[in-house]
Order: sequence, then C-alpha cells, then structure tokens
Amino acid sequence: MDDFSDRDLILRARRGETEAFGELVRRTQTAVFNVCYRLTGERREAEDMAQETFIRAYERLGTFDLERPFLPWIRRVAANLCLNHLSDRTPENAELNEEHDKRDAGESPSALVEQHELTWRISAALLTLPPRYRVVIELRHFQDLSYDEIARTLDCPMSDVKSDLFRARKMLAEKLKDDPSL
Amino acid sequence: MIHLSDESLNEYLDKALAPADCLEVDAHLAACPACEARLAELRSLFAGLDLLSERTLEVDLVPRVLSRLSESALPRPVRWLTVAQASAAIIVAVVAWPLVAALLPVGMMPSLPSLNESIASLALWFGTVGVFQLPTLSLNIPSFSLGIPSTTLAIAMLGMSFLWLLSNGLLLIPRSRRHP
Repeated sequence: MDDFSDRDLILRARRGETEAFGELVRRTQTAVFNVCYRLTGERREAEDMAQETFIRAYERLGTFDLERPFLPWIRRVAANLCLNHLSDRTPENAELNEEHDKRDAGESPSALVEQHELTWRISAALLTLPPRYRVVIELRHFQDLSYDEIARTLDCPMSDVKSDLFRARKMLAEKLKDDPSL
Repeated sequence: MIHLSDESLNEYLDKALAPADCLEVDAHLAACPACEARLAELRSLFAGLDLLSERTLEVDLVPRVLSRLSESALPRPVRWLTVAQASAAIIVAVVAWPLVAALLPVGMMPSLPSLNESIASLALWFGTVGVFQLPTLSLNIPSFSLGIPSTTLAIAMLGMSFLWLLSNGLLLIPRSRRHP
C-alpha cells in the first residue's frame, strides 16, 4: 500500500477496500489530529474528533474531487466537524476542557522549555476565542487558505470571513498583550 | 493624517491586497510610525501562531477507524446499489410468480396455505388492475418466439431472479470483508 498514490487509494476505498482507506488514515492522521487538537484543546477529544473526521470522510469519498490533493480536503472536513462540535458545546464545558489542556501540557516535560511555554500560552489564548473565530484562525494560519477558500469551506460570505478573522486576531492580540514573552 | 484601517493592515499581511493598494500601504507605512507599530504588533501575532508546533499523535487511529467502518454495513453507494438490485430482483420474482401459479399443475404448487393465499390475492390484484394483464402477456411470449414450454420459462425466470439477487449480494461485498 505504501507505493500507491492518494488518488489510487481513494479509488480503491471507493470500491470498498477498507485497507486502502486505512492507509489514507495512516498517512494523514497526525495532521488531522492536530487540526482537532488546536480547535478543541484536549487530546482525547481531539482523537475522537479525528476519528469522526475519517468516518465522515469515508462516507463522503464519492464527493471528493480526485484532481485535488486529499490532505487539504480532510483537514477542512476536520475543521468543519470541530466547528459544529464546538458550537454545540456550552461555554462552561469549553472552560472545563481548557483546564484539561493545562493539565495535559503541564504533565509534559517539554512544557518546561520556554518556547513551549510561549506556545502553550498562545494555544490557551486561542481556546478562549469563540469557536467560529478559532476555526477561521485555523483555516487561515495553519491551513493557509485564502479568504475565498475559507468562505467556501464554511459556506458563508467572504465579508463574514474577513470580519471574523480580523476580530479573532484583535482578540488574540489583546489576550496576549500582557504576556511579556510574546 | 488618516491612518490605515485594521482591514487594510490585515489584508496587507495576508497578501490579499491588489498591487496598487499594496503600494499605497507601503507608502503610508513609510511615513506613519503609528501604523507601522500596529503592523509590527500584528506581525508578532502571526509569528507567535507560526511557533505552534505539531503535536504527536500518541495512538494509531487506523484500527479504530477500520473497526468503526466494519461495524457499519456496506459503504453507502454499495448499500444503495444492493437495495436497488434486490428490489429489482424481488419485482421480477413477483412478476414471474403469477405465471408459475397459472402454469404449474395444481399438485406442484407450494403447499403452504398462507403462500397460496398471498399469491392468489396478488394475482387477483393484478387481475383487477387492467393495465398489467401479466399472465396473458407473459404466456404468449415464450410460445411464439422461443418455442420453450411456458412452465419451464416461468420457473427459469423465477430461479434466475433469486440467483441474480444472491450473486449480486456476494459480488458487492468488498474484497476486504470477504477475506479479512
């Protein structure tokens, strides 16, 4: 399976060869997990969301455009899925999960390193943003999508994308302003 | 001096401005320390976001995902196709069955009373719907064109419909499910 291109694997998966889809999961699972982790801030939840992303992607393989690369597509699926998931979550639960993330990072030896501390602060600040703002930051800064591509991914007007993105950055900058390490 | 809007600064860093607008922003930034400072603040935020490293996935999701997929039935397109073909096979069987009922000697008919009743009611229903006229239509075709006894043809049609259903069901099961 290692020799097959993503396109070949998708064609095989469409024919019902689940091993081929398994290989696609193996190739992209870390990237998908990271999308989910940045948006949820909790490792277990991110693993569950990544798993759901692949199930959703398998069901929608028929709609995938074979001329496009698979990884950006599945990362967008993950972002959308997390957005829906986070939108359903109450604010109280979001705060609780932030606490989980603090424990998660605190238990890691790498959290002692200064740079990791800084990245943790940024991650934590990101998690305080409303889900929609988090997602536009994810799509713009980590998936490198244009305004237009984000609008199509989220199925909303480009003016909303810009407005959400600029507000998200402003909120993020304000939250980090007191942090001298940034 | 009119300062640059937040939107302009954001679009400038996102490289979303038209070339002419970009030149205007460049010129303004060169002459306006306040806007240059706002831009630097925004740049540092971008740099901070770039610092976020990828986390390591500590579990392998492949077995989990494959297990979930195997729990569900066939993939949706295959399920749909299976249902469509099964429906078609059942329709053929239903159409052929009144022929069998009409052609076979009474002694060869299935002995289950309930089955007989349902076939009779079905035949009655077909009879009441004048458009179909299935027994008459189907009886004429084999004797004129093929020269095969109608009874044989009717039984063959019925048998083939079941074989069709069975073989399609087997063929549509993914190879991975047939040979785990």
